[in-house]
Amino acid sequence: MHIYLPKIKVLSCTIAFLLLTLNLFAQQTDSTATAERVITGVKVTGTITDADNGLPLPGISVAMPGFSAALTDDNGIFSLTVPDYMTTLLVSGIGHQTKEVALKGRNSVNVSLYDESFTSVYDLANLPKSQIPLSQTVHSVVSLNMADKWQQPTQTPDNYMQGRIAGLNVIRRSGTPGIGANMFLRGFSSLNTSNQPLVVVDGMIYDMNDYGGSQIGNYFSNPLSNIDLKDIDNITFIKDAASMYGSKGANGVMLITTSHAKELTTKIDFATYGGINFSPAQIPVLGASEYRSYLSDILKTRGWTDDQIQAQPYMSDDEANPQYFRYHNNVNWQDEVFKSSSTSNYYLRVTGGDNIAKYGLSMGYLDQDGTVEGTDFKRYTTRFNADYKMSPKLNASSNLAFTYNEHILKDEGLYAKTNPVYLSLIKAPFLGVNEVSEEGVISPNLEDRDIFNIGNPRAIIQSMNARNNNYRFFGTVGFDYAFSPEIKLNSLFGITYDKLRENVFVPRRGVAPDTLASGIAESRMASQIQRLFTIYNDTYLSYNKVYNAIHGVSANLGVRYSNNRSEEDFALGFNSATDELQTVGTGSTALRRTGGDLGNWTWLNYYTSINYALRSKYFLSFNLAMDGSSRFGKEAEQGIKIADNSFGLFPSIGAGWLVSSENFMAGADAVDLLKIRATYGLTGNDDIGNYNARQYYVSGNLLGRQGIVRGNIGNLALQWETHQKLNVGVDVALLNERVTLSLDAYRNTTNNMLTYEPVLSVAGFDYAITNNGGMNNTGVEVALNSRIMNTGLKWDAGITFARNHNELTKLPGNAMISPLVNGSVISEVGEPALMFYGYQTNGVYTSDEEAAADNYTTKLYSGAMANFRGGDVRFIDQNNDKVINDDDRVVIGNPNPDFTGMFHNHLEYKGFTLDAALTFSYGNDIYNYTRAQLESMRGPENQTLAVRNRWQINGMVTNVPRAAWGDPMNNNRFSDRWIEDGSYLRLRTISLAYNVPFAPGFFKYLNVYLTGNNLLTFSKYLGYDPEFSALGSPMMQSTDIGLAPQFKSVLLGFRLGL
Amino acid sequence: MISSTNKYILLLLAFILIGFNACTDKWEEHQDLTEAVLSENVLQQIKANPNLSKFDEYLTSTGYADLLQSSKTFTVWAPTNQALANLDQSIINDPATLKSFVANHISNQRYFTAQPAQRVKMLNGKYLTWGDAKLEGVDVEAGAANRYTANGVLHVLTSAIPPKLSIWEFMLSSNTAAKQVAFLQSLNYDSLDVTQAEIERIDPATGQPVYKDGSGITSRNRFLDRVYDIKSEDSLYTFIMLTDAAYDAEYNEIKPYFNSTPDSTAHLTGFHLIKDLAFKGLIAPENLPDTLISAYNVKVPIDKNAIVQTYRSSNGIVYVMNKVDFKLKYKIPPIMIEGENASGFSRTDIPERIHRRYRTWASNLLDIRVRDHGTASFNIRYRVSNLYSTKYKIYWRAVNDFIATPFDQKLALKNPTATTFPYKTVPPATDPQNTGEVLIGEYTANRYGYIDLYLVAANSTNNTLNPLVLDYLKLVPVL
Repeated sequence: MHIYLPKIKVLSCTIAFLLLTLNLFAQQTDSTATAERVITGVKVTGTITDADNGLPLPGISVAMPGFSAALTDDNGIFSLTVPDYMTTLLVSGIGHQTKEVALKGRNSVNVSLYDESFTSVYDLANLPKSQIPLSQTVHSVVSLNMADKWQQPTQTPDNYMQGRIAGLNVIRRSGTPGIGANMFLRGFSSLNTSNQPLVVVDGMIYDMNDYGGSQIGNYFSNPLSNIDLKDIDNITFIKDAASMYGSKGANGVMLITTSHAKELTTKIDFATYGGINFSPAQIPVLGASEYRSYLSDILKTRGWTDDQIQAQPYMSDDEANPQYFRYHNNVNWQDEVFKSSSTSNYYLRVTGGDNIAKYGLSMGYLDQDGTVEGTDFKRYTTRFNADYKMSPKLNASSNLAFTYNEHILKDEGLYAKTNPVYLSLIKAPFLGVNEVSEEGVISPNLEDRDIFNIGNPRAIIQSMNARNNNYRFFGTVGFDYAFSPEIKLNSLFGITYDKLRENVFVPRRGVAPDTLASGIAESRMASQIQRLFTIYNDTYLSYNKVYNAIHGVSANLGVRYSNNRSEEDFALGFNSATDELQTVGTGSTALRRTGGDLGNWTWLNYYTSINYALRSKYFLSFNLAMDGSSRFGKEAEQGIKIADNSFGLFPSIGAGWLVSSENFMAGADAVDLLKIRATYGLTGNDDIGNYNARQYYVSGNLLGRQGIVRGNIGNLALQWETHQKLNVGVDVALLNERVTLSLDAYRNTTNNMLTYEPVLSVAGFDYAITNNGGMNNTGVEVALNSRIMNTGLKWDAGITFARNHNELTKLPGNAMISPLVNGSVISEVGEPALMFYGYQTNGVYTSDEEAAADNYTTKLYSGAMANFRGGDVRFIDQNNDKVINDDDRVVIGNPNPDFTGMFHNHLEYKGFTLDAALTFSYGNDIYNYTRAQLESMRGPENQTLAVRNRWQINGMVTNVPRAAWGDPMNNNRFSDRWIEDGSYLRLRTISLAYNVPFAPGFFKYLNVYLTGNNLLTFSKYLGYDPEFSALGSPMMQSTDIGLAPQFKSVLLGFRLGL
Repeated sequence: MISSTNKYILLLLAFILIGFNACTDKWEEHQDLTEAVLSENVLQQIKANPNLSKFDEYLTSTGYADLLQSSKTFTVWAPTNQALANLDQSIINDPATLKSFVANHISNQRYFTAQPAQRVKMLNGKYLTWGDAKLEGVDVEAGAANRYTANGVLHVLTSAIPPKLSIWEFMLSSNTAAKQVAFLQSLNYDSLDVTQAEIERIDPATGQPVYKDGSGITSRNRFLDRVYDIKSEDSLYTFIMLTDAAYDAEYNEIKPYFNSTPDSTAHLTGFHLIKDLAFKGLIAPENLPDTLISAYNVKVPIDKNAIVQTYRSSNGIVYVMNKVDFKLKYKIPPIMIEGENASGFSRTDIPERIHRRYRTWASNLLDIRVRDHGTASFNIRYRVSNLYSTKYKIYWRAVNDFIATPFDQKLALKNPTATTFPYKTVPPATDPQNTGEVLIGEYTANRYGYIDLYLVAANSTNNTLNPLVLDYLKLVPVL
């Protein structure tokens, strides 16, 4: 369907629509005016009591908004005129929760209120254009009131969210401080585009992209680490069709509201923390003596004779041997890499103001060391938030934040030569850290790489220099002008300026050299600069009105615009003359490389939303966005065409019914709230690459001639991914909100999913980028909260629980096998995406006869076929052809969890509060690549203790195969031996806070906190930790490539109010 | 309310405790030793077997007990107490012998019965044959093989295996071949092994190291250097020892061909006699053929009836024989001089005129041709060393496949101008393949040594007349 409209026509249409609406507003104003003149109604009375102790509450406001209001007297009694007995009252008071009470035909109601810290179904959700009580939204929305944020000084906002939002699977990337988490809402939504939710901070999109990656192994510069949790007032998460964000809302929207001054009096908050990070529990590897026995065996399988083996310097036990002391140590290399470290945090916030201007100024400093020695994260944050009342009709606000980060890091993951953690696992324990003389005198100089060409982990710790410094300015200025109490014009301008600089130096001494295309890299240098500049504007008209106390209407019409420019430049140098010369310029000229990337994209989003509420019982919501983007192809099939450009249309509708407000529920006193809601809509994902919809050229070099060559197959029809979202939910509150339950069921369908489609080799390219895939996610989510005890000791307990099922519906070729470090994953139509695809095993052949009985063969690296024998892994021949090859691969694991969630507890007693949160993930499989290396028994690398059970002789029953140099039979191929259950239950945070009682004077309050993170983890996973996330893409989830593990930490801090 | 709270707390506690157990167990379950024996070392296994107490005792007294607890891997073939009951007192009483005896039952690395037969090096340096659950023919006790441990394997042997002598050791200890042994020992010499020598200082003038007096001097033997190292345990050899009478008989037979100074004659004759008495590999008596080929490619006739003693040594086998009837035609073989292996030319400035040609019909597939050199009497020199003192018939093979006219060339002895042999015509070869050798003449060498032969071109500068061509020269002793 192509709809073609000239630009002028659209503009005139828009103007016409605007005029029409204004006209409509004018008429409506008249009708309300008439209504206000005659106040007729009925009387309602009632008592308001404190839910904690049952005492009457005086001074509580009871209102029928836009109609009437009253305060309770000393006995907590109020009396109010309302239009009829089908309305809903709004009850609120300072220090107490806000609550809606439906009359349901009654003329008298008794209400008990909790204090404001209570998590209530009537809490406000900070939606993009409004604040609506959760009880009135039709969307699947979670609002976090962040009561415990003061106790979490080291958490980034993404980490903080873990477990708190049912259906948002937050997987922390690694134990590197500040590195944050990858967030997957309701499973994987796409294979090749971003799966991360859209983050909006104070109304402006917060750029979360990665521009060109890092020169530091497996490092991710996490933009959310720029926001101090203590500066955040509220995080609201929209899980269903957030169509108002058009082609950016496919993975949900995380709305962060930073704190503004609430009161006019000057308030000063000061907080400081100090803490210890504990070095993680170690992976048990062989000690020096067991390792040497292993080494004897493995060298023999190399074909070495006894004499050759005994001639190795490490085999001589003669102290007179000049090499004796060099090879007779017993070093725990993990001790040399992991060290307990410290954390400190200071924070100061000043808020205050007058009738005209209110301000909040905050500054913070965080210094968090990693548990891998030599890693460090320093953050300096400043924020200035202000609100200005410029005239009765014109308000303005500003949110300005500047953050500077200094990150000192080490390589992680698949950097086998420079990842200190990996090196510490494979390094021979009989080697020493420092050089040693023939007499055994230890030198202060570190040992160079060893006889096995494995680097010295200490050399990486001490001499490798990897720094990432970045700063981000994120500022918005907003205005709203009220034409009338109902009609407002809002406009928000914002700028993001982000700059990142990296410097890396890997010394030659103590590090194994790397092989380049045209040389050997002895020492390595790199620098990188990334820059991002974004201009953002969001302008809209809003309309809010309640007619006759029955019909509530709110509508918005607006446009968002964002222009982004990014630049990335890097330079790599190699082989400087000495390890003292550490910059790229000092490297060998012949090997130097430079490169970079420019990005420039623009997004334009027209949107409108209309929400209608009838008697605060029936809710209807309509959203529509029309998106244009420089990324979309000009010949995109979907959407509409305007002036040669394709615009995507993203409508959504929602409906809700507050059953509990119906008259027939009047008798059901136990039920405070029962709401049924459903939404259906479209969103999109525009992470399709800046230039993939165009044909571009890249520079190339052929035999010394420089030129440009085609860089891609431009796909003019390339478009956004379309995500259809259906969500049905029920919200229940029982027993005066002692028990609340939110239940959601959803079905998300991804169409036009971005795929890398293989093309014929004559095309000269490996693939073309097309919109040829699709997948489904279905699932349920439960959030259950309850106040178990309410007298004296208050005990809140809650659980979030989410279950998701993923199924691919469309792929080019119906199945796709993608390589994964030494393994592969399969995505097949009708099955969940990215399942581990490898060999099934059934133990180890106990004897040659047993292997001969099977008579399976496999291809050696040389191409010859060979028979398995005793001690080889018994692979299962799926196709019964007696040959173990790629055709015998089957699905051996599912990286997606069966369910995830959190179990949390909050206890309060006489000024003490105790919070404990247990997060869990169940049923997700992990490919333990690290263990696959540590139990491969194919070289001189140190191994885990399990290899002591290696097969030695016919008849030996064990599940560990024989040691074999180079693993000729490929016993270590990607099989279920390396797939493990990654389920875990973790005491994620536990914190005890004490509000020190004293008479308020100069100091207003003093709180003391003791917080523990990750103190207990229950898991069968055989690795440092079952939680890691190497990349944001779904592909590398659940593959343990050896990242810095999560660690335990304990923090003690206090907060002082002036 | 309280009771229900307690219930919750108890539940929570139970939950945590269960989890905590799971936490500590996870590695244990994965890496616990499947068999307790994998945590023991070989020595513990030996000690655990009361039937090995005697061997254990010897292990302790020789110091090997410590080694067997260390972290390398070992295989121990431990003889039972019964097997050691009748051990020779001379072994038990001499610590060095006992040590070698014990070491003869221990090797590095793991060896299991299932492995193919192979020679295993024991800690005393001797190799024993291991295969088919037999060590050097001795059975492993039934059910007591392949006891693996953390650092090795234990097999129980039904009898002990005292270390055997090597060929060299046996020869020295034997008195049946006194003359041969005496001669072999006369080939000993001392040499400086710089890898073993201790450096005293570096000579500042030359930059070369100066070694300490007497350090690094090792004793070597020219027979071991030039024939086979029958001292080494690493390879297997078959060695023939001649009784004095047989030695003398053969010595005298070949002595005339090594005419020189008396000392040199004795040395040369002796070496040429014994150089053909060692053979690669262990050739057991039952496999002994009637002819063996020596390291110097000499056919050695073997008469099994002449064997007076056979000794199976640790590195092979020794036959003591009272007769080895060497054939002179093999012992004093013809001398071949390949044309292409020239020692020199009368002119060195015309390499482009000298062609070493690839020819399928040529001996060694190459011949030599010199043409267009424009030099009268151009010559090629060949030095023949090791010329036996005897009379020779001299042949050449010269194939003129490159010029249609015949040309002349001659062979001169000792001096290019010598006229012992006249010029001979080399006609164009119509069939190079079947062009035969040509007898040049006879020559008698009176002394063993060397001689220079010259191939001389025609005395002409005409290039059609003065080419030279030679496939080979052959000196055939007239025996």
